[in-house]
Amino acid sequence: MNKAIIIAKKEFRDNLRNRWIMAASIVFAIFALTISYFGFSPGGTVGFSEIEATIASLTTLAIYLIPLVALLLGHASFAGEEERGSLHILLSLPISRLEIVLGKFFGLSMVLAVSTAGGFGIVGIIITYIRGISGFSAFFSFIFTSILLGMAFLGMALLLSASTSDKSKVIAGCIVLWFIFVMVYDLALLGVLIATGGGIPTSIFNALLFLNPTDVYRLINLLGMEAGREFLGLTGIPVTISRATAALALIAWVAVPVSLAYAVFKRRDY
Amino acid sequence: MVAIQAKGLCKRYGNIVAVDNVDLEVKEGEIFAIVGPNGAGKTTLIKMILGITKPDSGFVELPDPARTGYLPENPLFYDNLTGLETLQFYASIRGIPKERCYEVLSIVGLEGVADRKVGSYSKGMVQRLALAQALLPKPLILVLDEPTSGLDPIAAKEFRSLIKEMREQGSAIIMSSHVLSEVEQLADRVGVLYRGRMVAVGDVPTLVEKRGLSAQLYVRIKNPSPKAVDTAIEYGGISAEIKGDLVSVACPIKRRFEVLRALDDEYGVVDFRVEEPGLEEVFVAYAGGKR
Repeated sequence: MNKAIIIAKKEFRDNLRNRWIMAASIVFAIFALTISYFGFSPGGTVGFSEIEATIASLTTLAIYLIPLVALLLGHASFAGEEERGSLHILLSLPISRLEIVLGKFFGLSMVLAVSTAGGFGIVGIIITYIRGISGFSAFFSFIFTSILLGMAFLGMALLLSASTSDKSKVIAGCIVLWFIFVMVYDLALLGVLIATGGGIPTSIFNALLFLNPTDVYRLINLLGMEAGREFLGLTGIPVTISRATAALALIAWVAVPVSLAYAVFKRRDY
Repeated sequence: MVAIQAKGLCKRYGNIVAVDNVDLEVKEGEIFAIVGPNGAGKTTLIKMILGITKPDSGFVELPDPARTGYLPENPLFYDNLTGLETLQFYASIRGIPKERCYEVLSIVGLEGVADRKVGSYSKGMVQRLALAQALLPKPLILVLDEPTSGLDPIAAKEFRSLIKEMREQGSAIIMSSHVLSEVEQLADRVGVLYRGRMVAVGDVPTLVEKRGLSAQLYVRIKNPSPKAVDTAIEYGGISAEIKGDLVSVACPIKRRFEVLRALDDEYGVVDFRVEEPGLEEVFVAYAGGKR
């Protein structure tokens, strides 16, 4: 596994140098600060609110932003390197394909983690400074699950990137994935609920929520939070999923795509 | 001693046969060149030798895969890493001490730009960096795909000297190239790959002889006569013609001296020039015009 670490370090350094981390951190920070400060202005108040309310607002933001950043970060991992010819050199070296996949995945995950923690962390520090330490663990949990959400989409990007040599197809696939999971899925789910007059059994409804990592992420961060329920987007629907179950589901969303990426990468001829 | 042995290598992509039952042997201290038209299967064969592509059938035996160096065609590296960092990355994966990176940078003449980002390198510098990474493991086997692509003539010449040096040190070298003059200069043996099949293997003179390729003689004679054409044919010429005092004769390589002597005896040779068939003619004979 030492070789996976070598790959991971290279990925991290490469992205640190091309200012990816800085750019993503700045984007996260700007959006997070704006939303945290102005998020409750429609109610007539501006300023940093309670951490619970801030997390609820940031969760909605993160659902749009983090998958996009993760897909952008991971899309060229294999197809891009294949196009450049550097993948062929890598494959000719005494390193297993598992080590390559793990190295890339964890190296890019580190990039995501640093960007996310850096960008959202600023907000956490400011709120902790203004409002006190209470709720810090919830904010920490928010950052941690945001990183997991990013890793889930990173795994999907790796899976797409390992599936074809054509980088433009990978980009197209990433856009479709983002569109489905972030934009379409919940709308379709609501559509089904309306069409059936809310007649979907709870177990099926819960299962359907598990099929979208952004829903799982939303559940973890907003369940059990009074301020959060109205941000669930599914207010009034009896969600009976525990946070622990949702957390396990998010971990599965991290593990499954990257495992599939490895399975595809292992089988492919380059 | 045989360094690389491949037997019965086959690779299909759908209905397309990329490599069809190819056997290959390369000895230590030998340069073996694979030539063939575009799409003949050269790169697929090279990737199978390296283990990058899995053969449908057949096998490859290498003495020590960890000591195999590979230079792909038109490689690109990571723009944000320096030349030295790039080599250190590959050296770490191979478990090679960092000092070796300085050695290979010096061998390829990049020590002065080792701390510059690869993104600022010229194409030739990138090619030299690619060669440097291939030399990192002190390779027993060196696999080169279009190795001088992107190099200027001086760098290409230096590169050829380096390859010859590697051969002297006992490395087995497989290369593919479209630059037939370069292959002719470097290769001890050549394999012609056509539609996935190795249709000819041997040194260039042997292949010329096997294929019965003819030499072209241009002989300027003292006493021109139309009968000189008959004389040339009589002594082994395949075809001949005369224009003024210049007799042009196509003849098998082995008969060229007899033809020349006969023309000298009967008409007196003032000057002559011989064009011997080379790799280009071999290539055309085996694979030309039928891609």
